[in-house]
Amino acid sequence: MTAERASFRQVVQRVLADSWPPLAEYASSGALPPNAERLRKVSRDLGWWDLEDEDDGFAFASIAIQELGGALGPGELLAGLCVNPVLPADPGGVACSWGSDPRRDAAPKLADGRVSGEVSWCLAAADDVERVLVFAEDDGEPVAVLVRSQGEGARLEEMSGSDPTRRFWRLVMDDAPLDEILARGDQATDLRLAVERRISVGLALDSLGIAKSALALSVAYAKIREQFGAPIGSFQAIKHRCVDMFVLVESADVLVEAAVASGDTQSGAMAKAAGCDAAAEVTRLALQIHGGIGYTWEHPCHLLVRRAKLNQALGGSARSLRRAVADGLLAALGTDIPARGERR
Amino acid sequence: MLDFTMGESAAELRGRLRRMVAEFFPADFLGAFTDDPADLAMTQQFSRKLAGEGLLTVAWPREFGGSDGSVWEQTVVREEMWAHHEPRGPQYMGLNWVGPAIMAYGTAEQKALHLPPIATGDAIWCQGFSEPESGSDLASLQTRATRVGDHWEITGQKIWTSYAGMAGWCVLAARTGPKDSGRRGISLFLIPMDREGITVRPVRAMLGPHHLNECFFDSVVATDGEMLGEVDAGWGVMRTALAHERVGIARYARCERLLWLLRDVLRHEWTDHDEGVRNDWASALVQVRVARLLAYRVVERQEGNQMVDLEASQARIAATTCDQQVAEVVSQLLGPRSLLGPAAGAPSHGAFEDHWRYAQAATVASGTIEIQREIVSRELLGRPAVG
Repeated sequence: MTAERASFRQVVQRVLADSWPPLAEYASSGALPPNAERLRKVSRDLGWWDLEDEDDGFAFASIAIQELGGALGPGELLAGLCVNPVLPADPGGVACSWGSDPRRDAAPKLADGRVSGEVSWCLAAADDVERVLVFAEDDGEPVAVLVRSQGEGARLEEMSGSDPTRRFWRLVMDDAPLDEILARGDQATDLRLAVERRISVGLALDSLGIAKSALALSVAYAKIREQFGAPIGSFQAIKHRCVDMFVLVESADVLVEAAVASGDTQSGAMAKAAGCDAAAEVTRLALQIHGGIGYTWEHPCHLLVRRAKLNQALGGSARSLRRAVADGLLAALGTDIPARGERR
Repeated sequence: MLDFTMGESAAELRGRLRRMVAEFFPADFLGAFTDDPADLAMTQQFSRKLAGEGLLTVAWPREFGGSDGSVWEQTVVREEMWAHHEPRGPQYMGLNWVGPAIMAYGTAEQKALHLPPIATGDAIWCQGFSEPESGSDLASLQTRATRVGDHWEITGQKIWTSYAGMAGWCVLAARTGPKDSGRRGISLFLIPMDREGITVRPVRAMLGPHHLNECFFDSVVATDGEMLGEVDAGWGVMRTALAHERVGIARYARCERLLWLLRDVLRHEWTDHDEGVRNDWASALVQVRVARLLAYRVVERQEGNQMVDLEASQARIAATTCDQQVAEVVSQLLGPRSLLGPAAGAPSHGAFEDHWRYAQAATVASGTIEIQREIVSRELLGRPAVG
């Protein structure tokens, strides 16, 4: 099994070398993000999009997702390999939100077959967003619906932010007719939780790949860049940073691997919080080690930082995820624990 | 004596500067360095306006076009300008250290030539120090000034040169001593950027457009009259300049303004956030105040003409890490909204995203945090014997 996974990782790396620009070239191309058509086709031909038809398929998909992350891969494959397998709809052109924060964004409302509200940070498994998966409320009951993004009452806006390597969309709905109801009630809630878990793990995998690339670039640079007549990697200040980065990467790696294997909500939340925090810190340290060159468009470092930062902010903050973990664990103590703000 | 509020006249000056900025700039102004040349032009006009009111070089002596104001007034100007995205554009280098260095080391001719245009806001200066192979190890710089007849010829390459594309003048550090003379063989030249042999290439970077440049010098002629200070004695001037530069940007002032903006942007959402978040917000504010007071300590010593290497580096460490701490708190509180650019309906016109990007470079620019720690440790520990 381990050998099979290792050889699959090599296949993914070969495909990326063949069908996706290397990091250095990607960074200087200016036209971001690169065209993903070839990678999309090759990955389909190789069956990556259907990996989960097999036992243990997500373990293999996760390898591809992580390697894609390290190569600043396209959002389509992240969405396609990670979230689409849990959607009960024909996933072509379906986008869903990777950045909803239920505390901030009120759930869209469904009434008389029409939806009003907003969902942001939508990522699609294709170039075009045809339909968007919306978790809405119908008179208080949770529903999962698909809404046409270009139809009546719907407007799709591109969201431009710090990370130019990935395209996100905001869907604004004003009495938009729904296309299809996927689930209601508990089934809708279960679907939402399944999607959110996949998003957590997907972002953690993407970030882990980013962190590994940032570490590799930094270690290589510390060996060749000379100041004060010696490679900067010979100075303790730099050595220790490299080791800190390595420890962060390895710690994230084991948590993410555990989350892929287990499939429960708690491990997903832990992996997302720790993995994305680790990548944000590792890429920050990578910038520090590279100095000025890391900020320039001639070097991929700044793109890794941007992606890691956005991943950290998407999919629920580390704070809310850790809180959910704590709430889950404390709930096991029974009902004697006072709720927040309550005193005994 | 450090006075946190700096008294009533300082408060008045703050109010006056804020009104001037609010009247002059649109609410979505994020600095001079954008793809819209109008932003730079606006900062040039504003600098002249400040100069007209005696506020550009407020602490300079009257004989050089200043207002004989106190360093504290200068500090208020510095804080308000940086807090509001530096509406003086690329001016601060000239008035912060190039001007004062010319006052201290320049000849009468250099003073007459250079100080008036800085005081009126007409001259833009850049600083040619860093080189591709001499970053943290600045004293190893290899741009060469060779004696040819009665003049110098300068050849070499500089990098990370802020404002080079818009500057009229450059303080250029070049080696006049032997190749391995380190800090003992560097001289400074005051060179017009339109002189033959100078090529500027913009470097696109995370900080945004027009910030950083590479400059190539190919047998650029300089006269003896263009040397600032004595031959081979440039390092002392650079050291003073770098100490000024380390507190010359009041980063903490923008940090504090952003924390208040954040308070207002979140409004009702504060009720959703638990105690930990409020704690982080307040901790960041404390760190901002620490950075401010450490900077005041440097200003106080500089005013007394004391060496400030340790204090300046310490203040720089505090200011740059607080820049990053504030960016973190913003990102925790605003989530992915904090990373929206100005075009995407971002809160406060993208000021938070702008700050995040800029803060990433804080611990590298003007001497990395590692070099700042070295400078502090040298005075703190001396050179302890090994073994």
